[in-house]
Amino acid sequence: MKKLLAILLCACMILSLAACGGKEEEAPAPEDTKTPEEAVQSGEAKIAETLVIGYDNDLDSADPYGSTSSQCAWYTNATFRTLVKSDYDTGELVGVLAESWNDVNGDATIWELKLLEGVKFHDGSTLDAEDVKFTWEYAKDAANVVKPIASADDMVKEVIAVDDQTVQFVLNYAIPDFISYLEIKIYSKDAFDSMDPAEAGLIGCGPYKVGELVSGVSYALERFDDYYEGTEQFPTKTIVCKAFSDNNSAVAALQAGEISYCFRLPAASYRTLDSDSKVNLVTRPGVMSYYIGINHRKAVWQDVDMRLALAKAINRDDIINVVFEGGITASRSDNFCIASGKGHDASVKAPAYDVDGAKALLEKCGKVGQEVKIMATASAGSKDMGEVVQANLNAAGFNATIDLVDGTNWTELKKTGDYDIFVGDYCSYSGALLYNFNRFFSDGGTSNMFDFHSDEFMEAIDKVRACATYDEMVAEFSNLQVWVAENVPLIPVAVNTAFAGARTNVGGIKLAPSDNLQEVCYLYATE
Amino acid sequence: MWKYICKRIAVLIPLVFLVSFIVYALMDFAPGDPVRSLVGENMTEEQLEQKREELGFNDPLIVRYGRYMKGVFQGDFGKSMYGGKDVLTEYMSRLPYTLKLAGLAILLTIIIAIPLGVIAAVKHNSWIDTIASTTAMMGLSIPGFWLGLMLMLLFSLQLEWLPTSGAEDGIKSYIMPAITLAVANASLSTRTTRSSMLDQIRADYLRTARAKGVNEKTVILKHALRNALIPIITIIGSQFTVMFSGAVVVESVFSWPGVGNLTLTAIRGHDITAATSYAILTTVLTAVTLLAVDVLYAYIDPRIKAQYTGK
Amino acid sequence: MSMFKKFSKKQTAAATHDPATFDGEYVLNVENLNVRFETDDATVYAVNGIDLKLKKKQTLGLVGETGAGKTTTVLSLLNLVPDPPGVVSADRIEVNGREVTKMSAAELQTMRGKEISMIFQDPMTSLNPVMTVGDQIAESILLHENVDKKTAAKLAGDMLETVGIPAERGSEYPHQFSGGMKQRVVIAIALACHPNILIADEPTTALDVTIQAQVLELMNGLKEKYQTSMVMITHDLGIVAETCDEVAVMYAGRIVEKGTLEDVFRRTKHPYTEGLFNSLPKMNDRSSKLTPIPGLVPDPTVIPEGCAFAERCPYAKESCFTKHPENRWVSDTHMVVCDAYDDPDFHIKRGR
Repeated sequence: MKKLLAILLCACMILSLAACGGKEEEAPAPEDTKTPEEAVQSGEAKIAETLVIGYDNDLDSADPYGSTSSQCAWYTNATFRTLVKSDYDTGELVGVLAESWNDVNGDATIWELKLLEGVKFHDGSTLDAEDVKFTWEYAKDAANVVKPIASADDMVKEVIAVDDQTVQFVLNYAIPDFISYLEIKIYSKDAFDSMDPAEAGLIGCGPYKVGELVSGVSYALERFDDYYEGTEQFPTKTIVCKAFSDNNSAVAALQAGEISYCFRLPAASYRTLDSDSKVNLVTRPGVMSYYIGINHRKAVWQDVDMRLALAKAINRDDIINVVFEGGITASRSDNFCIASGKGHDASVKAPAYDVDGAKALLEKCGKVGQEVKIMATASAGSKDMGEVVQANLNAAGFNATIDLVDGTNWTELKKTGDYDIFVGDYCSYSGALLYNFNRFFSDGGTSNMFDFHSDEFMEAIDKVRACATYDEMVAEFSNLQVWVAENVPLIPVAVNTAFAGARTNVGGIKLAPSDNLQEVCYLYATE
Repeated sequence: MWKYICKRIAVLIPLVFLVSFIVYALMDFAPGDPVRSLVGENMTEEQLEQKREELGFNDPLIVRYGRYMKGVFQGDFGKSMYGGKDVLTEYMSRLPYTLKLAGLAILLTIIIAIPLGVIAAVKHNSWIDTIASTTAMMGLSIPGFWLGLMLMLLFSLQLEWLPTSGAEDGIKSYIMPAITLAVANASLSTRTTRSSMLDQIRADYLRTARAKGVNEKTVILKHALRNALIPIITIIGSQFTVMFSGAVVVESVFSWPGVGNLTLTAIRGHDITAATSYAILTTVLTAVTLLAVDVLYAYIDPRIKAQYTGK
Repeated sequence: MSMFKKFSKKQTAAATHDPATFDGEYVLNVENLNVRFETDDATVYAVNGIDLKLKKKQTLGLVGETGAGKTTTVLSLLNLVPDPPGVVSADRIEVNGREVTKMSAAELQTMRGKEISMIFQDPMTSLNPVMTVGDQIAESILLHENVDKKTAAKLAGDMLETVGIPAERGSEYPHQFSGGMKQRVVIAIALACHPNILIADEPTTALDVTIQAQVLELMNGLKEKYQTSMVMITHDLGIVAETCDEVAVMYAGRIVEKGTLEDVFRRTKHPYTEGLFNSLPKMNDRSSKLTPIPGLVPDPTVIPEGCAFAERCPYAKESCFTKHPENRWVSDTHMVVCDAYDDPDFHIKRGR
């Protein structure tokens, strides 16, 4: 009797718990309402003084050169301004703090920039050439982590403050597109002279200044009313970002209305948020590139035919369907230079899916049944992609296995692990034309973890660099793209679709292709 | 009694050395290059090497450890590798959240577990006992993150009574995380209370009490329960200490700004200084709490007090 | 070896004579007490038809082997038999004239400790280890007397002195006392409210012999002082001789012989009682072997058809196995439950 009661009790509990889990929110159909922009224009709605957004990491540093994290990057996008900016939609290079620039000698060895007048920093001081010089030298030498221009330290011989509004960069060799490397955030030298470096590094000239930072809880931005362009475009007085430990919590908070906007959401939440009538989804092509890297330390992969065999065996559409929900969260990419990248040549295509071709190549090389160890991390996207690739390769006559590793040592493992290929991703945004190709494929490139080496490549990239004008560089760059497509140092697969969720009363949304490029300063919410 | 307490505190010092050295050395030997994890793919090999030199990573383990411990004894627990925040300040600013949550969870645990355990023991083998024991077992089997998420789904999204996460909303923020923690704890504590009480219920001295004319309620609550408390307090005490660093799951689900996450992030980010510092701080906190529990024993059971004081 | 004769099934008149009871003179009056324990596996018949009467200021010794049902019998007097397995039924269980089974919980609690107290066998476990001995005595006082805490504490101290322990030791804990002193504390707790009935369940069994003597002396003294009636349970006939006025011998949940001390010791009638005496080691004859009673105590889950002792009885005849023996009063005070006395010439060896 007692036992029967216990079993009945367990059964009841299990059933009721299971019933709990199955609740799906049925969103009612929305009525026709004005957009926030319209509501503000017609005077119907007021703008809230404080806007709460969410992110799944706490702010580790409010100093732009204090951390390489994406939250530090987007936070300081609001508190600092750079010399120039590359518009991530049009690709155009525009001046920000630099009004204009010119090639002093005409040979691209000395670049002179004219700075805007009357730009105020948060501490009250004014922008001048000393600030630029100081920033360059400090950021280069200080015991901090980020270099303003990675892999390009050797470009600049010296920086000269000619006068208050003029600064010169004297280069070691001719670089026609040097200005595109100057998307660097400028410190205030006066701040460093008068304050502790830990505090001085927070002073910028952006439309917001550092607000209340509560460790582990939230980090805020306060509007800077002396911003040099005026504050019309920045309706919200205080923007508070809540730090979540997990981006699923951010989704829950967005749905509950505890935050109004979140641009880092898990791919799986797309459908949930789409069906929620109180949340709008904003999407755009991202810059997160997914690729299959190849271990060039192993002799078998130094043979270009074997690499081609790999490339032909992989079916990008399979990956898009399985891993990226049929194209919702990413779209396929057939060129290492992504579609929105500078100098992208749309006619260049990586080897197409061709199982028979792959098989034929394997036979030609006498390597049918070649073992391929795929390295992936245990996180959902990486593992899933690894599995699809494994299936593709096996269908083409390879013998593929997956090795799941811990993501914390990922960088180290790419360099030293015993793998054949790996599932990789990287942020491909850059204002500079050759940035990505250089760091991935050049000898000693900072991202060349798989030790790819090709003299032909080095010649080809030097050819691009040797061009006298930017347009010539772009034309030569096309050839480089072709070479990379044909020689398969790695296999580009897809580019993500960035999406953000916003409550229906949020306006001023400007979605950037990756986290570190986000600009939250334009956001506002209506009450 | 004071001698006993001082002795226990004195033992802390070698303990801190032991724990810190083990953590420091383990993290050092762990595969992966902390400097590379820190800078990502932004630097060339030479720059990386230079960075490594700057951060002192090329010195031998003992030297680095010694440098670190010297700082610790001067009160400097180092700076986090990521963002340079002062480790001690970080920890101290987050500690109150963890303590408050742990305190509330333990309070709930005690309120649920002890009465339930006592009733189950007194009504041993009856249907009440069956329900209590089965519920306790289920509570123990439910994974914390699942329970937390379910609670959030129900109370935050469906009913909109409670905030989804964070510690901002005063007492309302504490409810779901505390319940999630308390369920697992209470389940174990109920079972412990029940079995400890069952041990006592057959005791002879209870028969003496009844023969004196003491009413049953007093027999159970004043006589039996007090004797049954020692194992119960042991379990509850250790549950409290586990929550200092082990409430990571709940902290994750509810974005609770406690210290659990700190340690986890430091370890995963290969931040040796921060991880060791958090380990030391947690050790000290745990040791002090366990000491408090041991002192509490002495006030409950005079035989134990006699052991401590040597009477 | 005695001689067997066939008895007729008819009872002789002499066997049914019951001496008159004194109304109001019995502080304890138990008639036909039966206690069985019902467990999932089997039912244990612990006490089967016991009659007990205790007069004022008298000490009754309850003698028998372990498992005879002595403790269960006296627990029923306080209604302390554990209720789920135990089922108590009786014609009468009266303490100071009141029926125990009809009392409410509150009435029982008032009675226990105030009118009737019990001390148990093992002093090591009878005291609450986490309360001071003073508090444990005072608890009893506070329950039954209308005094404040301070007075109760003082009275507890006085009680300690009475049992021979300095009053200051009232703030100490049980583990700080030796076995003998713990038992004194137990006695102090039991007598704190001066009940007129004290049940002592093998109070000295767990103590060494020298301490035994001290404790017994103490109990006798207190008995005199407070004019307490006592039921002394023991398997030690020596203790019975020292302390008891009347004796009842129990076997397998039944009383097989009862009477005054003289009756049972000098005019022993029941074969079992004889066996008990015989099994005592003989001081004068050291070299002779011990004479235990052959056989084992019967299985308590089975109610025998005839006499429970028949299997082990040297005098048993056939009818003993099939017929329950009668209660026979051989004098005003002396009763024996044995059918051997159907034969008027029958006698056991002891006492001859």
